[in-house]
Amino acid sequence: MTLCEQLSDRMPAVAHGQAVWSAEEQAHLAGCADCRAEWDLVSAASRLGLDVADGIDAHHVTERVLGRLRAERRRRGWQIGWAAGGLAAAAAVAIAVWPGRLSRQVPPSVAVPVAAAALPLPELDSLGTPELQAVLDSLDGSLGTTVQGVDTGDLDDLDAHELQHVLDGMEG
Amino acid sequence: MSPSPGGEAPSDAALVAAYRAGDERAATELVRRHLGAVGRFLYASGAGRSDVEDLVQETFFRAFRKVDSWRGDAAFRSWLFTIAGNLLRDDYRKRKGRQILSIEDRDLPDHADPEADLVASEAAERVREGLSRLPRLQREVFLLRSQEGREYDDIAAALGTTPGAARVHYHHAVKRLKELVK
Repeated sequence: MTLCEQLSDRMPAVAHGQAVWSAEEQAHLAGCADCRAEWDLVSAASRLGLDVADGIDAHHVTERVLGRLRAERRRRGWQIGWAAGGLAAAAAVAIAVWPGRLSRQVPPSVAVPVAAAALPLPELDSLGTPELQAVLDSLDGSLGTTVQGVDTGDLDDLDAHELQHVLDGMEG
Repeated sequence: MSPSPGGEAPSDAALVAAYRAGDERAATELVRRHLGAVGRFLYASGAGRSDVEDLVQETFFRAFRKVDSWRGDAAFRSWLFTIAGNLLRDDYRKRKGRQILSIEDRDLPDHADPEADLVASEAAERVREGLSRLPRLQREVFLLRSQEGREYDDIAAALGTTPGAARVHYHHAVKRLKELVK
């Protein structure tokens, strides 16, 4: 390694005060225009922006970064809650509709409120009006589908006893 | 966040692990520890003085969002610099290549020896202008070396290159800067 290469390698450390030039290196630096020019660049770059860094409000930056991260976590939580709620609603509808079609032993109107009540809802307190309305619509939809199905599709096949059971269920 | 067994400040890796486990104080400490260096890097890379704080904030936000992708191959600070470099590139593209450096952003001397400070500040500004004209890899290698004193191994790991290539980029940067700063 030439003395020029050695100096070049040590410049950052010397510029940061972690090392000092030896007498030999200093003499070389004084006589070598190329090394001198590189040293001027490195030492200028090592000081560049110090005043800018001092002017940054660390507390402000930290608060804003953490605030944005918290907001993003909340948003993700909602998205996951909505996805889980949607899946649960779909599953509830499937559970409510299929047994009604496969077996007449269980009146469909009985299964619906149970399934709807079991829906794992996202945290309602944290939802806004449009989001609450969407939850309500999905519940109404799942209830309405089955009741509507009873009215139009399956009632013809039921005997008097079963019809009375359905009626009792609807009237509470 | 707990101090290391010897009572020393926790390492960056320990703070990152604590943050991953949900400790926000670890994030606060990481910001405090690296904020100045990231700000200097952004400024030296051509960010406007008035934009630096917002860019620093965005850098840390992006870093914590994808903190799982930091595997400790490079120093955490070097990894932050690569995020800051990407951010600056995106910002530059958004401005459609407009020169980021502006006359208002120049360093102003405010020390006891105004004349010496002016000379130093003019030299620093010429270096900054020269840096803004370098290819990104050359600029970042040069800054990681000159501002942070990083070894070529660490620079290579942070920038996704080899130590030998990082050394070549550094020497290209020095050569080009010498011409630009004359």
